[in-house]
Amino acid sequence: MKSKILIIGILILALQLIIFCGGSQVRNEDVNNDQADDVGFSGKDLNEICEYMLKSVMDSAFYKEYIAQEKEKRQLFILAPKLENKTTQHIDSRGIIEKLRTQLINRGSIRFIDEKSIDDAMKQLELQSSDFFDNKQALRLGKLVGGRYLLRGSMREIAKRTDLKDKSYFMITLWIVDLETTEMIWTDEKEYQRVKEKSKFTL
Amino acid sequence: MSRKKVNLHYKLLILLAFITLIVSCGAPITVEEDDTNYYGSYTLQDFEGAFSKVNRVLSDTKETDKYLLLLERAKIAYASGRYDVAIDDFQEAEHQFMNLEGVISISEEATALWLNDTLKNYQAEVYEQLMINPYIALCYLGKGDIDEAIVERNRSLVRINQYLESNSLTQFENPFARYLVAVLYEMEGNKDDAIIEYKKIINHFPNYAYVENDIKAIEGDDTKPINKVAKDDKCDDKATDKENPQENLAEDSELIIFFEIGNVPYKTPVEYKGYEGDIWLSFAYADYRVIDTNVAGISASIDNGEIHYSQLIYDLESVVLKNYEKNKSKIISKISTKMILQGVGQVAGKAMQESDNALIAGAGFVLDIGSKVSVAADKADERCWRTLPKDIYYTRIRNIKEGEHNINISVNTKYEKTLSKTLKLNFTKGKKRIVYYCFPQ
Repeated sequence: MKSKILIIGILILALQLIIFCGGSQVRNEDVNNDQADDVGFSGKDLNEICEYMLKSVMDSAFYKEYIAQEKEKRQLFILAPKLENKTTQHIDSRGIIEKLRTQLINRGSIRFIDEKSIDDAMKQLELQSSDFFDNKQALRLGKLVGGRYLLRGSMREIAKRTDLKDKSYFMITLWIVDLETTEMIWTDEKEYQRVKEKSKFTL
Repeated sequence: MSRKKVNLHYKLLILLAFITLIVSCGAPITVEEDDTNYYGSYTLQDFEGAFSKVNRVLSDTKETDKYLLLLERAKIAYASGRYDVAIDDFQEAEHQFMNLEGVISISEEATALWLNDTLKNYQAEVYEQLMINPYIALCYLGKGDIDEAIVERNRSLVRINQYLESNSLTQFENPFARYLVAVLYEMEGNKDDAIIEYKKIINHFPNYAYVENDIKAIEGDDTKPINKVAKDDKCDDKATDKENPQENLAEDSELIIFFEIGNVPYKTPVEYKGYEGDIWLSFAYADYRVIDTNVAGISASIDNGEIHYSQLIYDLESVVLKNYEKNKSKIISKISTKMILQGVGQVAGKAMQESDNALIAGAGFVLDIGSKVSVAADKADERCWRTLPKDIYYTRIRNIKEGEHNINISVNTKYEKTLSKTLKLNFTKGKKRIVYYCFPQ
């Protein structure tokens, strides 16, 4: 009996030790293993969207025609400050198009205008990021900085939520506009549907 | 081993369990009472004082109450113009409440039944949760970031849909949230959706028929506002601006003022501990106490011109009280269950202690003590979001000419005293501003 009580006592103390003396660890993780822990976006999603869009741009007729020109003759691109966000997520949407721009520049194919020049021009013309969805305003900016094409896009979501289930359908659309003709010369979209379910009971 | 020795060992075990409980409940709060009364400072409109006090309380609070205090701090931070703090706190609290929603923690429920509900993680009431996204949207508007305000509008709609449309919890209808959603639709240039939201308000609250004026204003407005906002740091930093860049349209500006009045009813304990024969029993629950407001009416005018009287857009007090009435049967059944368990525990515990079997006698002792601990620890859960307003009013002033204007806000009190405040706001062509005014008295 005495030994049983002693064991129970030791167990309680050990449990206290485990609960109150936990440490923390830092480790590196592969971004492609970064699974979303809710219905929002993960690093892996951003990579997937970027890879998909990059392939789509490079397969397009416009791109083939564009890179057929000598590099110096290729007209400049403007990158929109961010995607039009119509979702319920606070996403740094700039990351998606910025990643795409990096890939396109590193392949030596598409020429982009420097960010600082765009910022200065926006200040001069008193423009805001939403003006990149107004072709007249975008053209004013294009003329000032010498850009012919604009890469922009939008994110949309249909969200449904119950106490135990969160469901979201996302659609990310990117497109390139020729600012002189207002013609949309390339566009593509990627969809996601994600569900998060919780169990009714926990310990 | 003798029975006395066995009893002693069981008592030692119980003592150990108590020590564990005390240790795991954290250190006692050491700050002075006056340093923690953030609510008192808040009601006196001393938002700076309230903010430093709520910070002190938050640093010493239990994990179970942390997210409620984050709501309180967020609300105070918003009133004092600390938009980033408010956004972070609201979002952290919202995340926690969404995780807890619909989930039953068996250990927490058992502890709450044995001891009291204050040991459970605080889960915000539906009417509290429906205020989080509108406040975050207002914070983003205060920062001049309409894009993120629109994200919060979308989140607000999902939450409204979750409670009001999917679960038919129509008693929680929040016309203020809907009104803000509609205004944000208007700011985005999406007039159809704005009209839908205004109509939903009128359908649910026929006495808010004045919202019809906002529909008429949209229908008669041929201009097309677009999604553009700029922070004006020269003026009240709680104000939000919107510009129309279509220079050919001589669109006048517009001002929307939200007035928060008074305080939401707060919880007050109703507790009883006493003997029924030789059985010690208790019950405890939280009742609501209504707080009167001194405000009799609010109006606003521009440059001492036409007076615009404010209109009610949310009677939160009646929502809280109706919700309480609906929940009364649940409260009574929980009290009954607890009292039965306390009674049965003590009667059975005493009977078992008479047994010659040392184990049964020991178990009887534990049961008896456990039931008495349950009585001793019973207390009402008074937790609620106290810095919410009693009512929200709004006024909308259209056709404001470009340039600087004095906005006079007059608060008429029940004691025939008028409190005035003047804001200098700068309006440019097509610019829209939202001003939030908090009067928690």
